[in-house]
Amino acid sequence: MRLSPSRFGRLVAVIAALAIAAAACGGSTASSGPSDGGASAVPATPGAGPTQGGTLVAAIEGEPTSLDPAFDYDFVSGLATSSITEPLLVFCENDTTLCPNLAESWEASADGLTYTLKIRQGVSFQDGSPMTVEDVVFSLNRIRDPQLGSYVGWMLGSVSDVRATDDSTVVITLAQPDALFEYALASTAAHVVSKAFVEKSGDKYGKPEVGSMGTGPFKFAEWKTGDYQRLVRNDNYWNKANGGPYLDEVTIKILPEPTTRVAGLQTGEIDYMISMVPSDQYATVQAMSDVTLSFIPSYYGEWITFNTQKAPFDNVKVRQAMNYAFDKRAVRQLYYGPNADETKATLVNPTLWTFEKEAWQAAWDQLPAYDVDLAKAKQLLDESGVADQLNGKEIAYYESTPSIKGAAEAFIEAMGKLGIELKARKVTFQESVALQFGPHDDYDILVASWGSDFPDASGNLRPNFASENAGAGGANSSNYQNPAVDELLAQQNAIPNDKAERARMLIEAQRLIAEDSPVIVTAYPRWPLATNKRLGGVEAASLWYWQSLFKNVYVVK
Amino acid sequence: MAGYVVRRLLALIPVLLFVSFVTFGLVRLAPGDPVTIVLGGRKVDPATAQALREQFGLTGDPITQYVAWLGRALNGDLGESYRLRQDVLDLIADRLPITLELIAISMVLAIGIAIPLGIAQARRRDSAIDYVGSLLALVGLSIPVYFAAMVGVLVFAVWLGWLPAFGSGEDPIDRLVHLLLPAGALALGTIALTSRMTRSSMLEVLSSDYIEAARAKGLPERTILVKHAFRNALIPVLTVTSLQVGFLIVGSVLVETTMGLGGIGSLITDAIQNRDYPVIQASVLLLTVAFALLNLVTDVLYAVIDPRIRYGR
Repeated sequence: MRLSPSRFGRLVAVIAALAIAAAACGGSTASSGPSDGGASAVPATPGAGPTQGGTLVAAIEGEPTSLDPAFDYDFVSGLATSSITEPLLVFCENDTTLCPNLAESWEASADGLTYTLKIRQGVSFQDGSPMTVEDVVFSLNRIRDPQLGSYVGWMLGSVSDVRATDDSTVVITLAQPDALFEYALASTAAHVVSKAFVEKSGDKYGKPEVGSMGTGPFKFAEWKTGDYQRLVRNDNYWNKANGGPYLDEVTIKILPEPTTRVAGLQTGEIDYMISMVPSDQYATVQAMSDVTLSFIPSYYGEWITFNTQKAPFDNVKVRQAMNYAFDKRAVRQLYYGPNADETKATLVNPTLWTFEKEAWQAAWDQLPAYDVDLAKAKQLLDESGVADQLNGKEIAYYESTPSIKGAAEAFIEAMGKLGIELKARKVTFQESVALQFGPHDDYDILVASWGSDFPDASGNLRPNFASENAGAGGANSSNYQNPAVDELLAQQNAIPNDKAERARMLIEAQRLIAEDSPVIVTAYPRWPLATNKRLGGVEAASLWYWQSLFKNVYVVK
Repeated sequence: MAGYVVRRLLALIPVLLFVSFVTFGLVRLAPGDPVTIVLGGRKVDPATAQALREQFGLTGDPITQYVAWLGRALNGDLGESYRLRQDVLDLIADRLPITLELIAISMVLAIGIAIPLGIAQARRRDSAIDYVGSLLALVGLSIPVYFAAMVGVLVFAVWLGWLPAFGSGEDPIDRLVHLLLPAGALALGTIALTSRMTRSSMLEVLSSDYIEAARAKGLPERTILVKHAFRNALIPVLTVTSLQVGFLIVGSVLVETTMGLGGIGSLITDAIQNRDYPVIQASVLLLTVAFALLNLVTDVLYAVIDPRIRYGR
């Protein structure tokens, strides 16, 4: 899962944004507005080919956790981590499928229990030592070791054995088939680290003193905590045939205050910002003459979640009534305009139809949208028989993301029209994380957000709706427990090779969930990407948080 | 005097123990489990969660945890940040210089502006400069630090382009240029309060008999102001100013976050948001020591300024 970014101190952000907008309008040419997305967002100046040299400053909103891929599971650590170390496979074709990387090919057995990987030969680490199968086996087993406490260890949870069978082959054995396992090979869980370097660094590995070392396009240079990380080009990069690295240096600057980040874009001190442009400042950034703001289709969603194990929200009619009474479209329009996609009653964003697209489309057309219908809402509420228990129930939300706060406020207002008096329970972003992933027994309604780790509908449905994830640590924040859905989600996961059947089961699960209305989906927002126009070769897609973002970036002028 | 200082320092020990105990309890009472927050939400197998809990020293009851923490702390080990996975003392040592520089520049700005301003206001009471000074003080006191910083960024970085919008710079000159804006924003409140204090304190002294006597003797106004009046007016100003350093430390929390400075302030903000217990614990202790030392230095300075004040047995 990936959570909506936390933001700090936005009290005067609006005033400041207006002022920056006024300044931005000083420039004569306005940017072309939201581009329609797609993988490469920023077109290079025609005729100007990539050249080596130049530097880039990217802004992130918080301190990275570590440069050790084992602990990279957030939106801020990956910019550096994925430039230094690389995974065995990579997401490609707009992040809808898998392509070779440090493994030049891979094959799954018919029973889905054995994966055989051919490891690329002739790849060197940044210190000049060759990458071997021993490093690959070491890297995977390291992530699997519970003692390490890796944040991505769960991705390899089905693995029972990893071994090298010869100098170029690694065989991974699973205890049971797992449809999502393959994707883990393109995540930080399958980054190849140098065994020698990790062992030499001991518990300092990934920390500012020693940093990290891998096969990636950029080398670690410096990390000043609370301030910035600095990377320099790896001139011996193995995959130069496919482009960069071109830039001499990349600086990743930590700037928690959104207004300051936006000011930095305007002054040219910041060249690159992905996802961390607040939606209420899109217009400001679009008006900047030197900056391009584009939008990337996402696997991300925002929604209101009912605690379905808590009365009266265990009553399906109450949930449906509230859904019919709430104008989701208005909220989305207000906070995202054209930069979020139309929703229906599912967490499977249409961008996640990465296989069996026609089947998903047909199912989508049948899905309820719960368009506003106050008469129907009132009728359902009456039928529920528990309308009198709803007054004074709480909706928990954090205020630092405009669309989250806005959805909660609009929801409270809409419920007022149903005669229900909901209370606002304002929490910090981190408290909301604790609610969403805690024991799920300490709230009535919660505004939640989530982005799939993988290009697969199952990556959204299983964590959020399987009853095994309802307990502490799980993501099933609606506490949804439906044996039929559990069965479908478990069965589809066990048949990784039968995509048609998997899609059928996932679609059926999606239908059951939509009828039960455990969540009200408010938006599938796209990722904003702001870049200075002097940059070319910028590429980012839905799973940008797993990508090596700076490899092909160059300075145009 | 030396004995007095030693006694004051010894008195700090029970204070630190008390503060550490209270902080230890308070962070654990706040909602939000650090392991949940650090995992940012995936279901991990119980073995991994347990391993993290043990790494973090969160097993056992709170009293046992506190005793274990205290034992390590007395040996100079304040633990490792949950989130950043770095030694807390290293983190603080990395972060402290920038905050100290920020506060020092603020202080220089504040004193350099506020004291001459206050003296000028007292000397020409009800003049234009007095009214303008009072107005500025009102504005300076009313504007929150983070707002002043944002307005500063807009005016001096975005509109005028004179100063960088954020960051701390590399070499000393660059560093000074980078810190001017945040230090200025931070200094506003201190300038306001210190100039008001200087003004009223000077007014009081200037109306006293010995100043009349000095005037009657025909001493030059300059000598009266600087040598006779100011020195006596300084004690209340010093009290307020040293208290202001405390406010500057608090204000640095806000301004560092706004301006992207990697100091203690942003470290604390991050730690509290992420329930990073060891960092919160160590930072609070650091602030306690800072405040205690500040008070001590102020008390010692009293004696330096006013020979009538003596600390003894």
